[in-house]
This record gives sequence, C-alpha cells and structure tokens, in this order.
Amino acid sequence: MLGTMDAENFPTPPDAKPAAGLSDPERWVDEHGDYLFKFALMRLRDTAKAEDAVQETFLAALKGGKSFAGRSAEKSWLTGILKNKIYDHFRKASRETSFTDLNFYDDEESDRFVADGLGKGGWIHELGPQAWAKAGESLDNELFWQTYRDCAGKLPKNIAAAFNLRELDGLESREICAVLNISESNLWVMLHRARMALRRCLETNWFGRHE
Amino acid sequence: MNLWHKITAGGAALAPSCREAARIQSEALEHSLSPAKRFGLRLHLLMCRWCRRYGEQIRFLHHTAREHEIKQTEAMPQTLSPAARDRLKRALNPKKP
Repeated sequence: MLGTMDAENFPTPPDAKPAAGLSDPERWVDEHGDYLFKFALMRLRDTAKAEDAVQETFLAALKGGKSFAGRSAEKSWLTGILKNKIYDHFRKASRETSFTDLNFYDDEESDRFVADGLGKGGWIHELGPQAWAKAGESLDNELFWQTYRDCAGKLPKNIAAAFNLRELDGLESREICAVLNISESNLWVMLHRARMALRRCLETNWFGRHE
Repeated sequence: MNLWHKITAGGAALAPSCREAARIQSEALEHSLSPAKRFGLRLHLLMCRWCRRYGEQIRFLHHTAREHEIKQTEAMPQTLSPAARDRLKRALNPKKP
C-alpha cells in the first residue's frame, strides 16, 4: 500500500514521477501555501479552518509521496487533495448541524413582483432585471470580481457552502446533497435564492453604476 | 388526483408567472425540465423580456464564475500569516529545530 486515501483517490497526473525530488516539502509552503489558503478560505470562510485544511493537505501529500515535473501539475495535485479535505469537513459538519436553509431570501424578491390581481407574480416593470451593458467586458476587470466576491460573501454560511460547491467546484446536485446531507429539492430552492440575491447585488453594485 | 387537479397543476407549469419562471430557469441549470415545464417556460420567455434577461444573467453568472475560479482565488487579498507559514513548515519537517 502506498500513500494515503486522499492521495490515492485523486488521480495521479501523467507526469508524476516516483518520490525522488521530495527533498524539500517546505518549498510547498512558499510556492503553493497562499493559493491553497485562499482556496480553502473562500470555501470555509474561517481563517483557522482554512489553515488546518492546508496543513492536512500537505501532510496527506507528504505521505502520498509524489513529485511533479512542473509547478502547475503539483499545484493541481495539491488542490485536488485540498478539495477532498474541504468536502470531508462539510460532511463532518453536516452530521452535527443541518445545512438546509430555507429562510434566506424566502420572500424571493416579493417586493419586485406584482402582489395580486391580473398580473400576479409578474415583474413590476421598472423594478425588473435591468440590461447589463458590456457584461462580457466586466469579466476582465478585477474590480468586478471583487464586487462578485463581496456579494457572494454576503450569502449566509450554509447557502454559500451549497452555492460554492455548485458554482465554483461545479459539482452536480446529487454530489452536493451527499456532501451536505440535504435534499435535492431543498438544494434547488437554496441555489435559486442564492442566484437571485447575487444577481440583484451585482446589478445594484456593479452593473447599475457602469452603464 | 382528480381531473381538476391535473388541469390546474398542468396550468401552473404551462403558464408560469415571472416569479415561477425565475425559479424554473434556475432549476433548468440543475436538471432537465419536464416537457410541460419546458414548454411553459418557452412560451413565457417568448412573451417576456424581463424573464429572458433574468435567465441570461443567471446563466452568465453560472458559467463565468466557474471559468474564472482560479482567477478569483488568486485575486483574494488574504494570505497566510507568517505564524501560520512557520507552523506549516514545522509540521512538514518536525525534525527541524
């Protein structure tokens, strides 16, 4: 048996070599530490937990004992291990408290929809979604992503956990439900409200200002 | 389920309000919709500029967030503190003084 579960579960990139160049794992801290920390912090939203996850990752990687031809292959290998550590963290947390949150945004922007009568449930026109001018150009603007992060950062903890697994890591519904131990229909409600809230926040704080 | 319930349940899927259409457009990012829902949504979108916009915008966010995930991570201002950095190095090399 070689290595740990984590290192084995994550597929070895084709350019992995036997552990010959493993002389200086401390180098990992300087070369990949900040990136992995940011990666964990964005998902766990807690400095101490993020640091722990990075440490667990390095230790698992050390046991896995692989070295790589390039820095980027090494980085994606470590990131893969970290991702699994983060999912483990969520799995464990979901056994203690529920990740289901059906309270956030439960009015679903009711102030923007017609309350009753013939047009019930329709957008109140001047309050409906506005055109986003030059949306594509925003993607190259760092300030846009800062605004995006600020808006996503306002999502409550459990909603953000589900949202990040979906929108950052690209997991499928079923996988997210297994990690967070929530039902698929509740997940969809949570994602829907997260998207609504995020869309509105970006419209107010970015697209509304950059006509 | 009696006939009346079948018709009204079908009616909600076949003629969703904007509020419902918003939810259905998010749902469509998660799985393929039932034929009735898909038809109802299409019909609604044909007539409703607001919901077309809403759908374009949530899909835009859905796709771009993932594509820019690494960039987003790198742009975060937070970094490891010197103390955490030390701790990690010591954990990786316990023999070091």
